[in-house]
Amino acid sequence: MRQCLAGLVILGTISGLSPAAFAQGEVGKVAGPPDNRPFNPRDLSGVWWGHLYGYSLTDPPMTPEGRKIYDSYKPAYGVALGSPEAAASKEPMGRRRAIASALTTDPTFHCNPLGLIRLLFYAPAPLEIIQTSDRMLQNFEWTWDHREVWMDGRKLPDVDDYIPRYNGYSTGHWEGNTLVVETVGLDDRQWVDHFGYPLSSKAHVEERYKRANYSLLELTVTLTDPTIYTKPWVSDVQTFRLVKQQNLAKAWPALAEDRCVPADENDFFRHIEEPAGGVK
Amino acid sequence: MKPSGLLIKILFLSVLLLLLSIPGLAHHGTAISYDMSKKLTLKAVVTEFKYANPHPSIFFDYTNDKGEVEHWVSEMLTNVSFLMRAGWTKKRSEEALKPGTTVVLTVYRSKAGGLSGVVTKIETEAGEQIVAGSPADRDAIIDKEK
Repeated sequence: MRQCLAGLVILGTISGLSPAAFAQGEVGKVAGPPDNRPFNPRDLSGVWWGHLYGYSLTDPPMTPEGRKIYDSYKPAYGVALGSPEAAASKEPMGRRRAIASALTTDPTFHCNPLGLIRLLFYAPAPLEIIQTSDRMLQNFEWTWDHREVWMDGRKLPDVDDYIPRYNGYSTGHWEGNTLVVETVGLDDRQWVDHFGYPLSSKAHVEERYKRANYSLLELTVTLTDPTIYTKPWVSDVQTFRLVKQQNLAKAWPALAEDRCVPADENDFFRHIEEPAGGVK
Repeated sequence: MKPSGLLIKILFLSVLLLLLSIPGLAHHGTAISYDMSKKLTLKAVVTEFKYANPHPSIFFDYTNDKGEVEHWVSEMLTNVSFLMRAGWTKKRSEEALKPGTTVVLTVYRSKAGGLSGVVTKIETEAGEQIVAGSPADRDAIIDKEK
């Protein structure tokens, strides 16, 4: 299941800026105007809309095993594989090898979950943060997914005692006013982002959230996965802007229930994508 | 004063034009499955419109130069959540694009050929210029300091 970026509410953000503008050094341009309203830096609750689509504009160095898995993934997002545009592009390699969606191996195209990092770097839809006494909860509009971060001081579990999960097992703590979240136990079928970068079940993900002002939340992720990447891979800075709840929708003043419904997905695949891809 | 049906249709199609006119980052079915170098402008009759995920789709009949009726399938470059947030609920959208409605579509055919495409623009039958205007951005819904 996938969304298109050509949404009315994000048109200017996406259309006016090239992917290069989303690089770390350009964060200020997408962070929005200054906001001097008082805020509690440890209050991250609200509906937030991120600007980044994809994890990083830097190519991570991979192990031979990681590269083999990466090569086997066939994304449907990015610049077309083998096209002149792909040859001329300065985009990371993962963003220059897209094939027709009818032929992709992207697991989400049949309603498999996006996975943790992919959910966090998904510009077309917002997420919601709710803080309770012992957890931080995140609800993701696209695919109607959720995850929880335990804030009660517990250690990360021994994941060999559990089956791996798409959103993993997370604990969090504050370092000053930065929320640091650690996650292990990720199902290795998920992709890091839409461009088919892999991760393994041994991955360790660190998220660092900082509320920079009343309406701006910044996130940096570090993926440490030595079987796939030869060194920790740090994301670009995702900037979330706070959404006015009443602006979300007249009928739904919160996240839309945008589930991935296999019946709808299969119908679309059969009637639209297969003809488009020349698949009979 | 209640807006007239025609006004509603114009507003809807204006919104659709806004939604579809922005290239954005690569979309799964756009630059990949479709030949974006050959723009087709087809005056067609809607046979079915699906307001659904992952993308709305329009099925339409186009009568070609030989007088043959071609039965097309197409996807639209938007999402129902975006339409809904722009005020175009399921009911309003289905009314504006109900079967039998004549529209002028900007379509890019699939690279595989055939009667399959992606629709990037919709215009009224009267051929009215629907001005795209300035695209709204995320700022429209962001909670900003006044």
